[in-house]
Amino acid sequence: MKRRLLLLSLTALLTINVFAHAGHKHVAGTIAAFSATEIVVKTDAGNTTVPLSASTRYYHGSGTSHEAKPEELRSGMRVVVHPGANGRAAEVHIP
Amino acid sequence: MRKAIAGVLLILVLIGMFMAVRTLRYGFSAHDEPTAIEAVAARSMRHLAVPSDLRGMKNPVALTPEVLAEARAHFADHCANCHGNDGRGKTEMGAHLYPRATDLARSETQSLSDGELFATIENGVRLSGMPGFGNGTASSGYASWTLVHFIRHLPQITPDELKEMESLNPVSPAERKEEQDEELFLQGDETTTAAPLPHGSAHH
Repeated sequence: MKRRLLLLSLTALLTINVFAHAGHKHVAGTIAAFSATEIVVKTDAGNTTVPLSASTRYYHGSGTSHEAKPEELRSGMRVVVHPGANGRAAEVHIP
Repeated sequence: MRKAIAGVLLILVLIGMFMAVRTLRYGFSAHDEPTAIEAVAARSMRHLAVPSDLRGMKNPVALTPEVLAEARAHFADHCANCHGNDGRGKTEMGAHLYPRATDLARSETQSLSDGELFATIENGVRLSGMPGFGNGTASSGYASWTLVHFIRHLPQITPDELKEMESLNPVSPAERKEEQDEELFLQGDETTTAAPLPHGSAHH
């Protein structure tokens, strides 16, 4: 019984860690699809969908000094998405 | 008259109870936008927090290109993490603070007096993410006054200045390499060695 409780506690802790970490992973790949509300990034691991929001910022290059516009997104374009703590895209970087 | 007062009190008690129940049930989060009441209260507190002798004070440090360059570097190193190099507050940190990091370039901020900006930098703002950077020394005061000049300059900041500031932002060696790898990836480089970026994947 004690062992089960220990395993359950460990599983819960690991699950929390994965969720906490996932919010900060950068997603790099090519744009598979996009809309006003989300962007689908094609990666080797499959497609990853990241929600967009009104506060999502768009940039040319990896820095933040050259702003881009959402209208500049194109399917097949290389992209790096920085999700924010809420899981929505904080920054979208395109060439 | 008594009935009217009792009615108002009853409404206030009911609103208080509703808010208490709502908070107990749903909690609260920094992701929410501050309510209008909180925004007004925060602005009032910030106003009251400024010593009266500073409110109308003009910047005593003369504005020169050297002073502006010094302040720009200082801002990039100490302030941009929350406010961003452009002062707009659209950074991962600033956009998730409660209240959000102030947009320093907008007219509401620019309309504050030099002294009010100085006091905010020196003393910080209670119940917000703004630390008090001053330590009461002349050098601290000088640095804060130069930052006031830079804040005034923010609405006219140029892309070249922003580019220069990027190189001055505090980043760890790992972050710097990550940004370089992302740049190479975005430019179509297939030989970027930092796995797993070249072929598209997720990394921290």
